[in-house]
Amino acid sequence: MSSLLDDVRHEIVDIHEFFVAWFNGTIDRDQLEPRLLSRFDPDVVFIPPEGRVVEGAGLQGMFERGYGTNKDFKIQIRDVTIRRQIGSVVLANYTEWQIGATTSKPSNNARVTSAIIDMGPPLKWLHIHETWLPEEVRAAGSFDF
Amino acid sequence: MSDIDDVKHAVNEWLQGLDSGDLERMIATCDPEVVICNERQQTTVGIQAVRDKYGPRIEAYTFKSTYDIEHIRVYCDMAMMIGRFTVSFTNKESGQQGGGEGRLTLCYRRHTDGSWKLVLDVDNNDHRDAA
Repeated sequence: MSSLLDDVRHEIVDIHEFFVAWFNGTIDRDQLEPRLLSRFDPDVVFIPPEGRVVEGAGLQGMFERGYGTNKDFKIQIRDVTIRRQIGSVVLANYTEWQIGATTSKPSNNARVTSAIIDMGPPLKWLHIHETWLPEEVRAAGSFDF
Repeated sequence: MSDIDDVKHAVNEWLQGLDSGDLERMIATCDPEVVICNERQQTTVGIQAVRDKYGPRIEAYTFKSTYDIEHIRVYCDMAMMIGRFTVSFTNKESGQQGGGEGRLTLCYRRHTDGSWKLVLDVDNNDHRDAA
């Protein structure tokens, strides 16, 4: 029987595998809705490390524009931790390590993400906020993946 | 008061605690397992980590801070806010001034006594000139 942490880790890793496939252009374009957008709450908010707020249509547009634009992009998820469970809602932290990013500097970068996910059913991502890891942590980390 | 008013009150208590140099007033708004993810800093977990982080800063600096809420949502016993923060600080000895601003997510949990306590603080800085 899987634990809640297993379920949360699987969800986080799975959605990032989709991101990579999407930006690599190795997944069919018609998979955006069933594989990604359907997992987001209608009021989901995404805040990348640059600090801008991306919501609803903006999030969809960001993905539609990015399809197949970066064939060298890779992500590795590490350190998934559940910080709090409130009913079916989970507050989780994880670190996201990117290789070959074209919209962030440096291209090999590392960020810590706070995600609020309603594990449902149905599962819905409610909030995602990323911020940069300390430079010394990034510099000491492995980008061999 | 509504849930949203109560959460805003908790935010103001933190800000006024910081601005008045009252660490305990800030701590009183925190959940025991509070998580703070400040940009390019180690993630800290728990009230002791908040004390260790803010105690020396309050000793050395005076602060003036604001938080303008852009979004606020309450999911049952959890409230989530997104907004813009500003902070300016002055070194008590040298008078040197600095400050910063950026995006800040705050997440609160309702405790069984009805109070709202901070469980998550994540920020991005527009520029860095941190205390």
